Amino acid sequence: MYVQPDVCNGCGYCVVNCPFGVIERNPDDGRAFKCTFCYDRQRDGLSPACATACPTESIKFGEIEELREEARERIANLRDKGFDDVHIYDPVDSSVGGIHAFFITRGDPKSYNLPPNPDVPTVHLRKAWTSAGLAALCMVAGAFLAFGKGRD
Amino acid sequence: MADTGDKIGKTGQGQHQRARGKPDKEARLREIRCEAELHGRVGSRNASEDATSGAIAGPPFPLASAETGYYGTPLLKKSQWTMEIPAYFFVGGAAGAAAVIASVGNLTGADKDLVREARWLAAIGGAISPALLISDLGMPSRFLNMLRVFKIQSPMSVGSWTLVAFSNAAAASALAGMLQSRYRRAGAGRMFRIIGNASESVAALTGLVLSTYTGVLIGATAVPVWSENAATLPAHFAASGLGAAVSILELKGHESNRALNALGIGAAAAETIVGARIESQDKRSLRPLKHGHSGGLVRLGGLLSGPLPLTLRLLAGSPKKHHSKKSWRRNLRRAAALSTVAGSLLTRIAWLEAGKASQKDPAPLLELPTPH
Repeated sequence: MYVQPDVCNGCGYCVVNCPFGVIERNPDDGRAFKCTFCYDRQRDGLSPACATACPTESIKFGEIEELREEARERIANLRDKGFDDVHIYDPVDSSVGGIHAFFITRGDPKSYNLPPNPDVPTVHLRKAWTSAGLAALCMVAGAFLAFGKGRD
Repeated sequence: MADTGDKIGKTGQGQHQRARGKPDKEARLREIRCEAELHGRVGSRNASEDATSGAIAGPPFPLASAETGYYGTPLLKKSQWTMEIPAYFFVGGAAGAAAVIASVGNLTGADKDLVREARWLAAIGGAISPALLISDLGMPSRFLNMLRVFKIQSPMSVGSWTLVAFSNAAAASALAGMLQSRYRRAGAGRMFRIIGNASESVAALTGLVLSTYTGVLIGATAVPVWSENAATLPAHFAASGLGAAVSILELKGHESNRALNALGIGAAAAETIVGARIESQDKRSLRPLKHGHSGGLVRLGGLLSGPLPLTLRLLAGSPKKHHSKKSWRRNLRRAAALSTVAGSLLTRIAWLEAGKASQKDPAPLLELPTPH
């Protein structure tokens, strides 16, 4: 996801919609900001700065499927070495359908503020619009009833 | 610092020192990487004392709890919406419902004054609403960017377009109505009547969306107290907006209108049901609706929009033509109307505050066990 800084007008709707609590509006500037995966560096063929700078290569950048495969191998490797509490945090089975920045954690991912079942907020749209539609119908029907009866 | 700068400037010694230090650090990093790759851990100082035994003593981090979450840092970011947003929910909701009243009233041949005033209520609300929304933007000068695209899956986008259509249609219908009564000459009067009625229909249709979509807007978010009520909020806000519109018109001198009173009873009954539902539910994610500062606001707003005006209206009975102007029944209905307007505004503030409280509680999203 990339927030276009020249378009964002700071409505703040992304802030209440991010299931991971990542994006925020800069109070001095008014616009919303989040990590861009170094969009500018990538355009010049470079890797994101964090992955380039990380001294232990704990942060890796690459093709998502390759990274997922690498993470699976790493988990298996760590389990072999007796690390029974390693987990991969990538909620593929939730409505989010997996994330593009995932983590290998020791201990429950919850302990790192990572929600076990995050939801894409649009999953609530259907029932919300249904409620809106029914309410609108009731309002119109009620108004016709009230004004029809009230005429005398 | 000044000393180093001086050396760099004069002799370049600083740069030389930095270059000399670099290979050491890089070599150490390579060492760490090799060790990590070979053994799956780094057994140097600062690493776990138990590393040599090959077993892990326990996680070197505290477990997240319902009380503290992640080091006391909430999972969700705080909503940065200010008071303009609940104020807009109130104004837009009342304006949208007023347009519906104007249109249905006009179609059923209701009191001409009532239709005219309902059109103006919609138009004024439609003018205040964008101002409130624009002033809440982080970059108000970019408000037109809201209309850059139309995105059906974004209630924010749908709402923005709806508001633009509504504001224009409501203003057009109110102005056409005014011009129609001013220029009664055959051709002009008829033209203004057609323009007024057409724009009134557009205002009523978009008004229905305007008074309900704000519930969708906050219902379809990541904030648990809102998303868990996604099916309730749009209807709740519609009832709140209808109650407010009816009450404002009554306070403008239509407190003896039977249709308005009937709609007021309907809205208050709906709000009473919503209030009872909120009270009957007991869940960690819904705590902000019953506890703390936001809980108090939700309850007060609910009482003022539901049970109180409902009781007052039922006590007052249906308005009759022969009741004198000073009738106690009329005063009861006025009290009900005042209570409903205050309750409608308070309800929107309360839900926004409940959202803020919900964003601070990590327990529902982290699915943490909570003590009762």
